[in-house]
Amino acid sequence: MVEATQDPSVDTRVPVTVLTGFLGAGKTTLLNRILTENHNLRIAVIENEFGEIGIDDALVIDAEEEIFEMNNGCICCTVRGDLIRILGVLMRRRDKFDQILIETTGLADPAPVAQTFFVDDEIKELLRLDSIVTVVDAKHALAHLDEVKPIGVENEAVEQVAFADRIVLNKTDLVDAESLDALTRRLRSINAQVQILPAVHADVALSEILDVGAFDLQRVLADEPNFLQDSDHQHDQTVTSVGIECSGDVDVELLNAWLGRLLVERGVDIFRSKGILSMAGEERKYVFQGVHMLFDGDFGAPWGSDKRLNRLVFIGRNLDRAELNADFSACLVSGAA
Amino acid sequence: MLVRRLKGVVRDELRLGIDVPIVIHEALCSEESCSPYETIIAVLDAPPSTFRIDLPLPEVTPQMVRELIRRHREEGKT
Repeated sequence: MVEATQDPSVDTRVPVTVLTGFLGAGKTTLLNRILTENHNLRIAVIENEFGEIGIDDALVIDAEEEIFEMNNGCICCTVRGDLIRILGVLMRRRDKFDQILIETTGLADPAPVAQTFFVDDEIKELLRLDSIVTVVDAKHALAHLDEVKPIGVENEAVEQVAFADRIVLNKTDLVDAESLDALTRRLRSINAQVQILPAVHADVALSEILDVGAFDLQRVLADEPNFLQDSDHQHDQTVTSVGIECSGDVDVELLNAWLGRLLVERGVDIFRSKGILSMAGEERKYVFQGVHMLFDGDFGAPWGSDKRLNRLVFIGRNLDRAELNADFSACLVSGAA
Repeated sequence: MLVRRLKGVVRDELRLGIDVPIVIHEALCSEESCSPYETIIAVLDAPPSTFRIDLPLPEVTPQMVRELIRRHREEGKT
C-alpha cells in the first residue's frame, strides 16, 4: 500500500462504508443512488455480488469471499483476505477516489469485513471504517429476522441488523403504519442504538450514511438518542443490546481485567461494543469500541463542563444485562454505581 | 512504521509480489494459559501461511522475523 500523507492535523485516511442487507432489500438501488447523485464525491465500489452496475467512471471491482482466521488460542479474529487484496490494489490508485464503499452479499457476515479494518496498523493508517449501513426491506424483513435456523447456523439478517450503525428501512410504502411500527420495534430490540432511516426507493439523504464517523472514537456515542432504550422482549430472541449508564470513576486495572475476560469468554457473542468512560485520575474521556474480540480504545476530549458519566453499549447474543451492569459497577473505584 | 518494515522482510524472504496481502496483528489475551501478547504475521497467499512470535508487536524486530521464516523454511513449513 502507499504511504499516507504525514500531516497529523488532517485525517487523510479514506473513509470506508460497508453496505449490507438481505437479498432484495434494495442495496443495489441505494448503491446506484450513491453513484449517480450529484455529491461531488468520487466513490470506489467493491462489490461481491454478481450484477452489473452501469455507471460511468465508477470504479467497481468484483471480489470473492475469502475469510482468514487470525487466532491466538483464545482470541478469535477473522479478516477478509480478498478485501485486503483489493484494498491494496485500490490504494495504489488513491488519487482516483475520495471514499470507498463495500457492498457485501446478502448472506455475508459483517464481522470479518469490519475486523479487517482493525487488525493491521498499516491498514488503520490508510483507511478508516466509517459505518456499517444495513438496508432492510420493510415488507419482508420480519420474516427473515424471525426465520428459525438450524442449530449452529447464524441468522444473517439478524447479524446485519445487530452490526449496523445506520439502517435504511426501505420500501416503507409497501406496508401500513402498524406493520412499520412492529418492524421498527423488532429492529430496536436487536440494536437499540441504531439510527433508522425510513425510505422509499432507498431515498435517504446521503449525508446520513456517508462519512458519518460511526467508528470514530471521538464521536462514539456522541449522538445516540436511543442509548438506554429498553429492548422489546415480545419475541423469543437472543440478539439484543444492553446499554449501561452510571456515574463514578473507573479503575483502569479492574476495567482491563474485566474487559479482557469478557471479550475472551463472550467475544464470540458480542458483536459490537462501544463506550465512553470516566477513568479515575484522568481529565479526558476514555472512548472505546470493539468488534467481537477486537478492541480499540483511546483518550479523547477533556470532560470540561460535561458531567462525568460512563456510557457503554453491548450488542450481541444472550447478553445478561444484570451481569454486565454488576460487573461494570465492580470496576468503579467506589465499587458501586 | 514497524509494520511496514516487517512486511518488507516477509516479502523479501518469501519473494512475494506486491499483490500478496500480508497482515500483522498483535493479539492480547488475559487468560493465564496463554501468552499475554502474540504477534501474528499472516501471509494471505494461496495457500496462506502464518508466523507467530510471543512478543508484543513493538518488540518484534526484522531480524526475528527473518530468522523465523528461515527456520520455517528449514523445517519445511513454508
